[in-house]
Amino acid sequence: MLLEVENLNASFGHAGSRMLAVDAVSFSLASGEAVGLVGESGCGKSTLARALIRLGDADIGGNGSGPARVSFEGIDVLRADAAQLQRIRGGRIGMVFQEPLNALDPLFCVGQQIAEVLRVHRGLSWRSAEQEALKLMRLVQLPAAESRYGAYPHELSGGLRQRVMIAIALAAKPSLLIADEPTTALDVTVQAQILALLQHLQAVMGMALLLVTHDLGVVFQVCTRVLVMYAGQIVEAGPVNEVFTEPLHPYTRALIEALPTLATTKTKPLATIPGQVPRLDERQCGCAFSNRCQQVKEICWQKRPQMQSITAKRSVACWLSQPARVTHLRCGVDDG
Amino acid sequence: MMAKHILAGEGLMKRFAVGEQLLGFNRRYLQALAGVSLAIKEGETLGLVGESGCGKTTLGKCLMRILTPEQGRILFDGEDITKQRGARLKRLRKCVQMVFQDPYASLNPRMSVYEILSEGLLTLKPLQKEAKIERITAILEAVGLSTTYVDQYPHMFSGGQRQRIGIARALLPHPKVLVCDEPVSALDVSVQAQIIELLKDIKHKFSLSILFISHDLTVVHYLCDRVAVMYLGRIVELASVQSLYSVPMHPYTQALLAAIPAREFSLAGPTPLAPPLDGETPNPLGLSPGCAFSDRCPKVKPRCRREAPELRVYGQAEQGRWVACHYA
Repeated sequence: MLLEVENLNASFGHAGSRMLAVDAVSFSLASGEAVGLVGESGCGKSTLARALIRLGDADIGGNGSGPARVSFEGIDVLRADAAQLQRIRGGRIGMVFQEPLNALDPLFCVGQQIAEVLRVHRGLSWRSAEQEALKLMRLVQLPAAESRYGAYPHELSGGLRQRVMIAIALAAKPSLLIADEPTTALDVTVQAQILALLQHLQAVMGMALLLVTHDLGVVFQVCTRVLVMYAGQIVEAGPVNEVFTEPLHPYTRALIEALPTLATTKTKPLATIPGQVPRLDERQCGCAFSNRCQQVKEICWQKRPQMQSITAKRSVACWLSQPARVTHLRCGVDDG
Repeated sequence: MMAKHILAGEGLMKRFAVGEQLLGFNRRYLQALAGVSLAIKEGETLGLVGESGCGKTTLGKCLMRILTPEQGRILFDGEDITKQRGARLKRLRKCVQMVFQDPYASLNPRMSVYEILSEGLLTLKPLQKEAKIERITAILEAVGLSTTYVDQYPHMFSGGQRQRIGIARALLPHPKVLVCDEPVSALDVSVQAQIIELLKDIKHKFSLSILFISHDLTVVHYLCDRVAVMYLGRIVELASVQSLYSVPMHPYTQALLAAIPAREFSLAGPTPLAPPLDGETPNPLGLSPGCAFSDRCPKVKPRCRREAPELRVYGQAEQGRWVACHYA
């Protein structure tokens, strides 16, 4: 496994009011694999993506069932020292952010910003870094790369800026690219270009891709496996085509049904999910989705379901998919 | 019998000055609307789609008289309202209301829900407090908000609830037309579905005509009767939802539809994504005389670069299929 995450918690705030943004998350990623991380805003998907390389100011730790562990290419990321971390960030793991205008430095031309990565991570001289940077700019299909080397971020359109971000992320030939909503700020025709580029580069460079997005269509288009997040927890995982056609978790199913498609008939109302995402500082003890779930059972309020394998490739955290355990536990509750 | 036009713009032109020079000389202008005509029929939901910067919000604001077009006329219920001011404009405001995109920016954080809603009532004839409260209660119920919330402030609500408050505010004067500017694009999928259903519901309840501005083609397909597609300040195609989505005629509409990521999921996996267009929307400053889409159009011919195509009707006029392309 390229990346293994176990029992990862990430929270904000202080002892008095803790916001648990990532709640006991475990998953793994094989090399060369394209995985989508989907969920609605505030579900913790960006915090999780950043916690993997210890970016951001969330407190990262373990939970009741054990210490947190993030293992990437055999390195324990959470206990890595500054030098190791430096090699990982931007070196072995590249990252593309949602808003390229915020992520790029407005005071340096884009070519230099790409070359800087090559100098830091590959130890090139400025001169050879410039040559390499131009190659990268052509690789990400930036039109007229030579004349754009000296351009500043504000001179480029949103799509071109995102191509520069991708060039920076790929400069050190990472084995994992984390893309956090890379196309959300872009128009739909440009989004199609950037997604096709990401797919092409992933295949050519053989790297793994973790695509964080709220758009199920984008995940279906680009990824082979999907992790569905709700209120800080991963609630379903599996191959994209299976999860999206036969979702096991009621939340996944509700998300898919709430999405209008060109085939949706107008007379039939869209399925809506009643209520809202629970607040991060008031977690109930049962399933986080229980107050919005249509099929909620007694056990759902009392005990939080854990991720359970259903088939070799699919797993879900829902009592409905675990009938045998439900009866067993319900007896336990009654006895107590 | 053709439905009458409730709100219409004819030949609207609007440009914005950019990069102001000393004393206003050598100003450059950005042509946001280049002669747009669009009419909302009574009782319909008209979708207005296009990519960012194409002028769809400007068109919405011009129709509402928030912005004043430099050329062209605006007709409300057959009456020319382009130059109306004062009391008559105020009366018009009651009839045409707007729902904004960002429910976080469009509600005053220092006002409670009651204050936000009652402010809109000030422009109506003075109401007794009881009558006011009664009216606000009725509207809150109509948009699916509990009346226990009236004394709370915007920050205490989620995005979806805030958008409900914004819709309630727009409905209070009992308007005839609602201009919704990207009302669901800031919302999550699950909440988006709630607001879409709410819009359908209130349209029926209050017999509204709606201009629905959006960049999301699937939402427009679900909600609207007709669609207008904009590109760089011009309408390039206008048709009923059924005909536009089944047989898009303008190359830009074709590209837009081809670029939507899969929404129908199948076990067989996705059809590979082929980006339908190269490049991006050109800078609207300094456009060539020809078709604005000619730089990106896969079917471009020499004539397209020379002369800009007019919006022409195809088939029967009542069906109302309009396309601006020499070779459609």
